[in-house]
Amino acid sequence: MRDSLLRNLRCQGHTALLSAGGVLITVLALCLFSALTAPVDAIAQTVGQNFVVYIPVSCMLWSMGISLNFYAVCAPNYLSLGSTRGGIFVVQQLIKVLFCGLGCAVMFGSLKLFGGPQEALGGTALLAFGSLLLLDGAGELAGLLAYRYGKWAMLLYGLVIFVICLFAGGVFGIFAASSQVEDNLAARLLQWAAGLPAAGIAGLAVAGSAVLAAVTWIFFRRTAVKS
Amino acid sequence: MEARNDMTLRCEHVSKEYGGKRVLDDVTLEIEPGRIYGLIGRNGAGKTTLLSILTAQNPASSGTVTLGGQQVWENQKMLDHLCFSRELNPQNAFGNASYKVKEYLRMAAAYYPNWDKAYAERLIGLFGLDVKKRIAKLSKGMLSMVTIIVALASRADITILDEPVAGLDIVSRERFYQLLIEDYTETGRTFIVSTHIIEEAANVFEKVIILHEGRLKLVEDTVGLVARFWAVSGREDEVDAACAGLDVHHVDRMGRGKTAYVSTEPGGDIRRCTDGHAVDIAPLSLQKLFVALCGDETAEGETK
Amino acid sequence: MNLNLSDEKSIYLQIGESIENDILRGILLEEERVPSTNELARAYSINPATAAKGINLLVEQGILYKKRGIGMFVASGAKQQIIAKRKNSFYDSFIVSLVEEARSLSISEDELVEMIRRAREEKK
Repeated sequence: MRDSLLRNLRCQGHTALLSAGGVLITVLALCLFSALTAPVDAIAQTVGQNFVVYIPVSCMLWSMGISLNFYAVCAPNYLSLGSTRGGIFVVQQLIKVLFCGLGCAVMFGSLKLFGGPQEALGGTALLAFGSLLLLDGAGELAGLLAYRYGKWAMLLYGLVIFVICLFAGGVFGIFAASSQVEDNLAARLLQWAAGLPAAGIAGLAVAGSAVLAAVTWIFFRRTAVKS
Repeated sequence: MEARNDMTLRCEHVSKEYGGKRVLDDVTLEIEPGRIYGLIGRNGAGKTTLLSILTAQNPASSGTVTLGGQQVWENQKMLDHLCFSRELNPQNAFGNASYKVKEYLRMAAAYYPNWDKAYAERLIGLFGLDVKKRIAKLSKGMLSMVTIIVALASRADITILDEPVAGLDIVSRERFYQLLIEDYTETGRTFIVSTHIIEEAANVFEKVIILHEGRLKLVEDTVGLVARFWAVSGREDEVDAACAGLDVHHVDRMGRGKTAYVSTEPGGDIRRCTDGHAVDIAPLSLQKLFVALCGDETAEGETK
Repeated sequence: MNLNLSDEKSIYLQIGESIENDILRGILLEEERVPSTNELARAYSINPATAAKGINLLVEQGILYKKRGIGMFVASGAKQQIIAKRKNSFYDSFIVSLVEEARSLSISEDELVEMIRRAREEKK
């Protein structure tokens, strides 16, 4: 068992590393852009400050594509070569966490190096980690649904997510704003959510991604390799 | 030949449904180790579905698949003994379309524990395959070659090939049968080959599995199977008299003449039925008997 | 060995006959080793089990014999045995169908004998 998990880690990791390389190139390209457009006397400073933002942005841009691709394209390939679904899934979760964690660690490190809002250091990194994880999880599930049920299923899924967010946000907003009473439940919840430390929100995001991962597994455990 | 473990691949009462349609119906099959099996059946008979269920690439709707008594589903240890090499569709190729052949082979090497690199390289040379080409750009014939190379070089205990010769010209097909026999005489591993080109491959199969409309029609020794099928021809009444008591699978008529495609019981003697009647008998090839068995949608069968 | 298999007869029978022909023609001598089933399988691109069936038939008839661990060998006296066997089956394989065909064409016995005599003359 261990051998096969290590083997999966090697192969899936290899693909992830290529993606990480892609992220790096994007970051460097953005830095170059920033350097070229920065005031001549403050190139290093500008780049340094923007760098912090470029990392999560690049990660997010790439992770959408990578995560969508995984269950739609890569996983069926590994399955056709004789891997178990459990082995693929477990290793991919690990890689996902490492990938997001690495991105945020780099962000964290560069914040320290190039300066930035120090007090939000830990919080920002955690927030970025949580949201990346959530985004990845959503993408993975979308990719799997597209593979199993076709593109329309994936679009439907995206629509559902969009509607949920709209709805949740809208409901809260309406309740909070329209109520005569200053002190209603929705407003309290909103205040609580706004006042949460970044870690709290990150925690929610991580929890959300865990739920998405669980749902992904429910669909993946009996996925067939299509001809 | 190397010693073989008792690695019998068994499926018991396997059925598969897709949206209400039964693609496989109560299939129970035992693949004895160390034999070359041929799997034949019409398009849509369920061959690929059965093979992918046997290798846990597709979950059965019901029934079990075991190898040496252990479940195959989600069991990496058992899956390591299997290789299912199927037709690559250049459009998606399980997500391999953008890979180069050599990258795909490198991946295969990682996933098949018994991968034989030297053998793979020899086969690449033999087929004259350009490993730098992308899979999406390969011709049908070259795709078949990749399928064959993966299957053979995997050195898996039970190797399954789904339509390996589709797209190959006759010379390459003959080369494949040769390679298969060479490998088999050297390793004694188990092969299951599904094919539409029956007659060529018949000599290579020790046993034949016939799948028809999702059901297992028969599993039998090729030689024994062919020995009990006959074409009985002559005048219609003579033929009918001669074939009384035999399984008639198909009938051709022309004017007053009739040819009946019949089978005896294993070990039966056709002459006991036809002697004394003015009929001609001729043996049937595997291909012809398959068409007689599975050719008619509404079989004109007259059974005992 | 005739490596060209026909579709007419069972493969294993053809292999047996091919070996017999080789013995008759002196391509395989008595007490000489006969190709193994694997060698035959590779030469003809057929399943070794089929080759084995052909060989075993000859072993049963005493034309070949098995030396444990080494292989199959041509038995001494195999040549005579094959000729005798074929002589016996000559009646069933040729004579019976000859007579039946002649009967269905209404050829008399005298005509038939005359035809045989003529053929022997012409083929001298």
